[in-house]
Amino acid sequence: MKLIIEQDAPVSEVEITIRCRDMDARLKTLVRQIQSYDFTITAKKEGRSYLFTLDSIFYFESVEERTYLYLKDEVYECTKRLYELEKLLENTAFTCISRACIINTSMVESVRPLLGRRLEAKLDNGERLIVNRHFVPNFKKKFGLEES
Amino acid sequence: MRKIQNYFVIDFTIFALLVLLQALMHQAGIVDYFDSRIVIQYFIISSLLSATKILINYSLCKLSVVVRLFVTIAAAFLEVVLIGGGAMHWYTIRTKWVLLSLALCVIITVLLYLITDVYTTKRTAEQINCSIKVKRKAEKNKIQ
Repeated sequence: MKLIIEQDAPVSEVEITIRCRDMDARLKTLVRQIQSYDFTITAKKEGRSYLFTLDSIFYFESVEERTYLYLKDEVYECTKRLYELEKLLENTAFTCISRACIINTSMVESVRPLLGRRLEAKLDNGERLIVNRHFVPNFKKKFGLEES
Repeated sequence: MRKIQNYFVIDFTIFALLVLLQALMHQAGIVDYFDSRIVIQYFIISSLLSATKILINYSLCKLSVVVRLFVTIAAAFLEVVLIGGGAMHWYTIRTKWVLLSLALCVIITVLLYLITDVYTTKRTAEQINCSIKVKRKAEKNKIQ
C-alpha cells in the first residue's frame, strides 16, 4: 500500500482519497475508521453538554427510554435515542449486541462463548457485555468475519 | 471448508450418540443385538442425517431455529424409518418401533443441536479473538 500525505497550509478541511482495485474487508474497515474520525456525539452530564468522538466511546445503553453513553469510567446521558444512533453509526465500528445496547467493537479486548449461542465481550475497561445470539452475525461482520 | 468441517462434526456426533444409545438399550435389554454390522450401518445413516441437517440449515436459514429443529426431526424420523426399518431391517414397521424411532430422533436432534451450538459459538469466539489479536498487533506495529 502506498501512503501519500500532502501538507498544505491553505487547506481548510482534511481530504482523503482512496484509490483501489477492490474494496476488501480490510479496506472497508479502514473506510469506517476514517468516517468516524470527525464524527461526534453530544451527551449531557449535570446540565452540561459535551461532545465526544467515537474513539472515546465504549458503548451506548438504553435504560427506561433514556440512552446512556459509556466512556472508560464515566457515564453520560445521550441526547439521541438508540435507534437513531443505530442508523447514524451504521458504517462505523459500532454495532447492536442486544435490543438495548450498541457496542464499539474496536474497544473489545476479547470474547468468550456462552450457552445459547451468546457471547460475552470483554471491553478494554474491564466491563463485560453480553452479545445476544440474534446479533452475533452482525457482531462478527464488524471483525471482518462472515457468517459460516 | 467450514461446511465440510461442520459435516464431519455433525456426522461423528450423531454416530457417537447412536452407538451410545444402542449400547445403553442393549444394556437395558430393550434390544438384543449390538454387533459390528449395526455400527457400520449407523455410520451410513449418521452420514446421511448429517447431510440432511446441513441441507435443512442451508435451505431454511431464514426460518427460526425451532422450525428448523422440527423439520430436522421430521426428516431424520423419515430417514430412520425408511432406511433403518425398511432397507436395513433393524426392526419391523410396527407402532412400538416407529414410536421408539421417533423418540430417538427427538433425543438425538436435540442433543445434536446443543452440542453443535456449543461448538459453533466456541469457534465464533476463537475467530473473533484471532481477528482482535491480528488487528491489535498491526496497530502496535504502526505505533512503533
